[in-house]
This record gives sequence, structure tokens and C-alpha cells, in this order.
Amino acid sequence: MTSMGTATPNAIDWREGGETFDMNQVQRLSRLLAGQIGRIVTVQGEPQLALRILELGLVCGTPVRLLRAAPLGGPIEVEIDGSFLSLRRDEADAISVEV
Amino acid sequence: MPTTASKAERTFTIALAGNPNSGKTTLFNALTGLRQKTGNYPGVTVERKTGSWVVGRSHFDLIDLPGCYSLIPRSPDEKVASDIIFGRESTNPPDAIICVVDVTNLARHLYLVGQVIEAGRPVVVALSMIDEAARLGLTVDTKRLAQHLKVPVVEVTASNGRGLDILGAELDRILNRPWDPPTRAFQLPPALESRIKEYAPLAGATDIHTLNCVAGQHTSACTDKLEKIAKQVRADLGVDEETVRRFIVEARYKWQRGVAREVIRFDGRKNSNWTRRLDDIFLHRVFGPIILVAVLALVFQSVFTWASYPADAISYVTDVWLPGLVENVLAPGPLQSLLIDGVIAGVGAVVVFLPQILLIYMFLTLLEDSGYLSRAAFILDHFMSKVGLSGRSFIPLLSSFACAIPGIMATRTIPHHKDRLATILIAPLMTCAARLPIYALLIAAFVPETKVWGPFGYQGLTLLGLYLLGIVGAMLVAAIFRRTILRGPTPPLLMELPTYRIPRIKTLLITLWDRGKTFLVAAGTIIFAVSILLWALFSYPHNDGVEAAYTTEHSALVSQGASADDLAALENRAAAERLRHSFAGYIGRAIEPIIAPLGFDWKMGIGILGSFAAREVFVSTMGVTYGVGSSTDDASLTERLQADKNPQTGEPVWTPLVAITLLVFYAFALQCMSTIAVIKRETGGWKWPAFAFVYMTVLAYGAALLTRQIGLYFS
Repeated sequence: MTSMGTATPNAIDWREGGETFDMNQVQRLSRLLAGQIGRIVTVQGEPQLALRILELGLVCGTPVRLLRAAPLGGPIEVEIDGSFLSLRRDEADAISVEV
Repeated sequence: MPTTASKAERTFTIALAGNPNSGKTTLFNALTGLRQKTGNYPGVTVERKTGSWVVGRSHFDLIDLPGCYSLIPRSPDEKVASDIIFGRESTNPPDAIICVVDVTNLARHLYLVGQVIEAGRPVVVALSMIDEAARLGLTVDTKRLAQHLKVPVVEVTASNGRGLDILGAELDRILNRPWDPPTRAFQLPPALESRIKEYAPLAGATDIHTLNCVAGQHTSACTDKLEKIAKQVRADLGVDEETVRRFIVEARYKWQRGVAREVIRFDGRKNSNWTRRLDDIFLHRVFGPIILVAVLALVFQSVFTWASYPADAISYVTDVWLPGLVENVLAPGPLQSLLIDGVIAGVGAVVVFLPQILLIYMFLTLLEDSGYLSRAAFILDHFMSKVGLSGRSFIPLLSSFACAIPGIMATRTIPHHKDRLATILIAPLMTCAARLPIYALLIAAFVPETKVWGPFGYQGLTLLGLYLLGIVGAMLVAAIFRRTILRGPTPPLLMELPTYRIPRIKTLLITLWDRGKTFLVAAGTIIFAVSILLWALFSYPHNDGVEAAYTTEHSALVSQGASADDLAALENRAAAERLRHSFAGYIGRAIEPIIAPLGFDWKMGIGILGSFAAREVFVSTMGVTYGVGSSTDDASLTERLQADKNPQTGEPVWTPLVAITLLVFYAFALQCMSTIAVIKRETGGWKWPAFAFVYMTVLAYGAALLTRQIGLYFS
């Protein structure tokens, strides 16, 4: 992941041990099939919500499993760090994972 | 600050922090038992729970903070927790903080722990869910964990009290010596790490304050100098505040997960994850909703059935036994009347709902503590989000079908404050049990019994229609509110589905005791005052003409040897006349012009006035007004209503249209002072209950007017 903002001479990739991802295998969390595991690439969208999602543990590189999706476009349930979270589809759309 | 009464006794303020579902409240209950009380933080819909815990010679004032995932606040709940820990808003920070951590979710729970430790106050970590962990084959190396965190760590089992005295001892220990706040535990990326180390001393600030400032978390510690430095650091690295925050979270989690991996031992047993398996059933696409409906139907049925026994017992006490007692002790007169007809009748009309309220709350608590409530929210969320509410609003609204009071109290589980307020404001629109006596009376009297299809007839359909009217009205009102006065985006769901647990009886009993107390006190004080006021309005002024006529007739009947029935009939006629000449009667006639467009007359006006105390009082008031006495024999009241004619026009006062209009009015009107009292308590002020009353009265009037116009148009 590259840093945001304008590039300056000092704007090195200053994150040690940066994660690498195969961009061909990246898709939205909401599109995973039930039971599939993905590694979190990034969380986009509205900053406050994105930060809250990160604060619950969905940070870059974390494996997350999609458990189920409620019918008719309802929320999805995921497993992370051994605990279970539910998110709406549009919230999950903002999260990209590598399968 | 510790108050030093003597060297032996000191009172410390201790805050309990932790994630929701961490076992924090169970611990709080174990430490305080019944020595706790709930109130509100002023001006916000956040519950304030405090209690006292005595260990040896130490006296701790505990504050059970609202559960939070982070001290970066997202909701009023989290803001309150954060403010208290940091000592903002004119409160002193607590002397120490107990951070409750669920060991089965250690990696995530450590996020809050890190933030709490960095706040600088003394911290003890209490590990909960030890039994559950053991069942899963997990053990925690508490020594190693304490080394990583650099604060004391204690295993506690709230259910059997293990570890509680050690917890007290550790608190004592850290409170009686100076606290050396641990340095930051997690490592930042090197470029950022080196700059923080370099600039913090230059700014004369701590490492944490500097980092927070660079991340754009503005606190009082962010001096101008620090701000400048923070800007410089960000410019150096080519990042903005948001990016820094993200990387901090990632750095924290990296450290947290490392610690968790190291301190947790797993014995490798084969685990059947009960929660996953139960969720496969409860969240099944088809069976999930079916099970939910069944559970809710069961709850409802149980509440209505079981509540009737104690409710009848309470009715007996308030309608028969207590009045009998008073009559034996006091001579007839204003004081006796005040007590029997005013205080006991008024308060009794409300207290009779206590069994129902407690039962609903019992089921709500069981559903929540077991973990099933979040599954219900999961299933219902899609539907609720269409009107701007979240799935968590559904259960409080459903409870309101029995009584809005426990429903409104249950909105505490809704994290987003606008969502919570919207739910509170529409809860009274759900057709509650108190409306049923009015519905029953008017439907039986004025809706034909004809069957439309099989067993379904006009009467049943009218009742169903009223229920639907309440629901549809509530959804529309919620949608409108969320687009206007409570405007805001639909709150995110982002909800944890906790592991299924067996609810603790002790917690349940303490909760019920607390809610029952809340209801009796909040409702009781206001009801007491309003009952007396209404009694005065209904009993005064005495009219000499009426009294004289009554005395004459009474003597005449007695001298003629009249039967008890005749005398009773005379009493009822006299009561009706007295009512007519009372303040209430006067008010009823005064507001007649206002309610005339709805087709109502002054007698209904009196009924509406009286039912402000509690809806079902309408029926007994009508009984008195129509001279059949307040303990109504429905048949005779029905006859009187049907027979009543307008003295000027000779037309019947009560027509089916008038009855339906009145039904619609009651479907929407907030005629319940207990509800107003509870809204006031839950929202921390009079603004919202006043608003609720006004908007619902306007809605009721408008809907009734519309009903009448439509009815007149079609006839």
C-alpha cells in the first residue's frame, strides 16, 4: 500500500513488512461465497465508518471468513479472530479482500 | 479523588470498562449486588450505573461504564465512557480503572485495554469467561500477559466469586502507591516511530500525546506547539491524519495478535463450536425467521397469560381491599374520597401493569443475555433500515405491543442515539394492552357483528385494522423523523454476534428489581401528582343544587322502603350530575368546540381528559358520566351509549362513525402519563416527552378528523 497525499522526497514506503497482494484475486467482501476466507486488503468508504471497521480488527492482512448472508440483500455475517460480526452489504462493499 | 475520612477508610472511585458482552456487567453485579443504582447522564439517553463494593477496609465507588470497543467515541455511550476515563466534562478521572477482558476474544479486547492504559490512570485487567475458555481447551498465561501489558492481570469468575478478593487486593496495592504509567506497548512503522521519539521531548509532551496529535485526535494536550510539530511530521511522511489513524490501528492489532498468540495455550482438543452450529439453525434463511416468529409469539402469549394472575391480585388490592381499609378508618368525606378515588385508584390503574412490565423485561433480558437478541436484529435489520432504524429497534417496538414502558426502557441496547430516540418516539404508537378495553367497548357497541368470511367479521377486522394503523403510522413517522428532526444516515449495523451463553439468574433478578424500581419511582411520582390533580378536577366544585336534590330524593326513597338497587341507581345518577358540574365537566364543555369537528361531545371530552392518566380510565369515566357507575357492567354502559341523544338535534350522539373516529384518535394519542414519565427518565429531560405528547396529539387529532371527513363523504 502506498501512502496517500502528495509525494515528497521523504515519502518512502515507510511501512515495514508491507503486505503484498495478488490484485487479480481481490474482490469485495460482500461478494465472497459462504464459507470462503479472504485476507483483508483495504477498507474504503466514509472515514469514520472505515476506522470503526478497522478498530474491530478488520485491518490489512487479516483473514476473515464469510459465514452467511441474510436473504433479500440483508446483512452478512463474518468470522474474524474467532468472533462473529455482522455488517450490512453496503458496509461490506467497502472492504476488499484477497481470496 | 479519594476522600480520606480516616486513614483506615478511604473511598476510591473505580470505573469498569470493557467491550459489550465482555462479562463486565456480570462482574459489576457480583461486586455490588443490590448496592447499585441506575440513573441517567443528564441530557443524553445513556444509562449511568453506579454501585458500591467493600473489600476489607477499602470502599470502592464503582461506575459501570457503557460497553465500548474504543475510546474514540462513535456514539453517546462511547463518548460518555471516554469522557469519564479522561476526566473531561468537569468530572475528575477515576482513581483506577478495571478493564474487563473476555479471554476467548483476547486479540480484539486488548484494543480497548491499550487505549485505557494509555489514558494514564492506574489499571487492573480482569480476565473473564475463564470457564468458557477452559471448555474450549484454552488457558491464559496471566503472568506473561501482565508482563506484556505492564499492569496487573487477575482472573475472575463472577459466578462463583473466584478472584474477586485478589482483584480487590490488586486495586488496593496500586492505589496506595504512585502509579507509573506504562510506556506505549505497540511498535509503529520505523519512520513514524523515530519521528515521534524525536519530536515528543521537543514539544515537551508525552509519547502518547504526540502520537495522538499527529493522528489528529485533538485533546486538551494538543498545544499549539504540538500541533505545529504534528503538521510537520505528517508533511514529512506525506500522509494525512486519517492515514495515520489507520496505521495506528493496524500497529495495535499486530501487537495485540502477537500477544494473544503468545499467552494463550490451546490443548488441541476437538471443539464443536456451539455458537456456529446454533447459528446455522437460528440464522437459517428459511428456519431463522420462522423460529423468530415462534419465539416472539411465545413471549407474547406468555406475558399476557402469566401476567393476568398477579395483575388480578393487584386489582383486588387496589379496587377492593385498600379502599375497604380506608373506609373503615376514615369517615366519608374529602380525605376519604381523595385517598380512594384519587390516589389509590389512580396509582392502582398504573401499578396493575407492573407484572406485565416485569415479565416483558424478563424475556428481553433472557433474549439479550443468551445472545439471541442480536440474531433477531440480524434477521430484521434489512426491513428496519428501510425506515431509517436498525434491527435492534424491533424488539423494543415489539414489547410496546404489550406496554410501551418496558419497550422504551429496552431501547438502551440501541447504540445509535438518533435511532434510539426515533424508536422511543414511535414506541407509544404500537397498540398497547391498555388500549384494548377502549377498543373492546367501542367495537362491541358500535361495530356490527356480521361475519365477512368464515370466522372473520367486521369486529375482528376493525381490531386488526387498528393494530395495523399503529404499525403503519409508526413506520411512517419514523421515516419522517429520520429525514427531518432526527436526520442522519441510517446507522451502520456493524454488530457483534456474541457467543451463546446461558443467562445468569442473579443478573436477571437484579435487572428486574432495578427496572421495577425505575418504573414505580419514575411513573409513581408523576402518577401520584396527576391522580390527585385529576381527582380534584373530577370531584370539585360541589354543586349545592345537585347535593340538595340528591338528599331530598335519597330521603324520599328510604322512607318509601326502596331496594338496594334503587338506591344504587340513585347514587349513579347523582355521580353523573356531580361530574357534570365539576371542573372536569366544565373543561369537557369548554373543549367541546375543539373536538366537535371530530364528532365528539363534552362527555367524550371528559373521558379523554380522564384517560390522560391511563388509557383504560376512559371506560370507567364513561361509566360514571353515563350514570352506570365506575365499575362498569359493559352491557349497561353499551346500552346507555347507544341510547344517548343530542338534546338540541335529537340525533344519536354515538354513531359508528363517531366510534371509529374515537378509536382512531386513541390509536395515535399519547394518553398515558406513565409513558411520558419513562420517556423523561430515559431521555434525561422534559424536551422529548413534551414533543412526543404534542406530536402524537396532533397526529391523533388529524387522523381522527380525516377519518370523520372520509366517513361523512361516504355516507
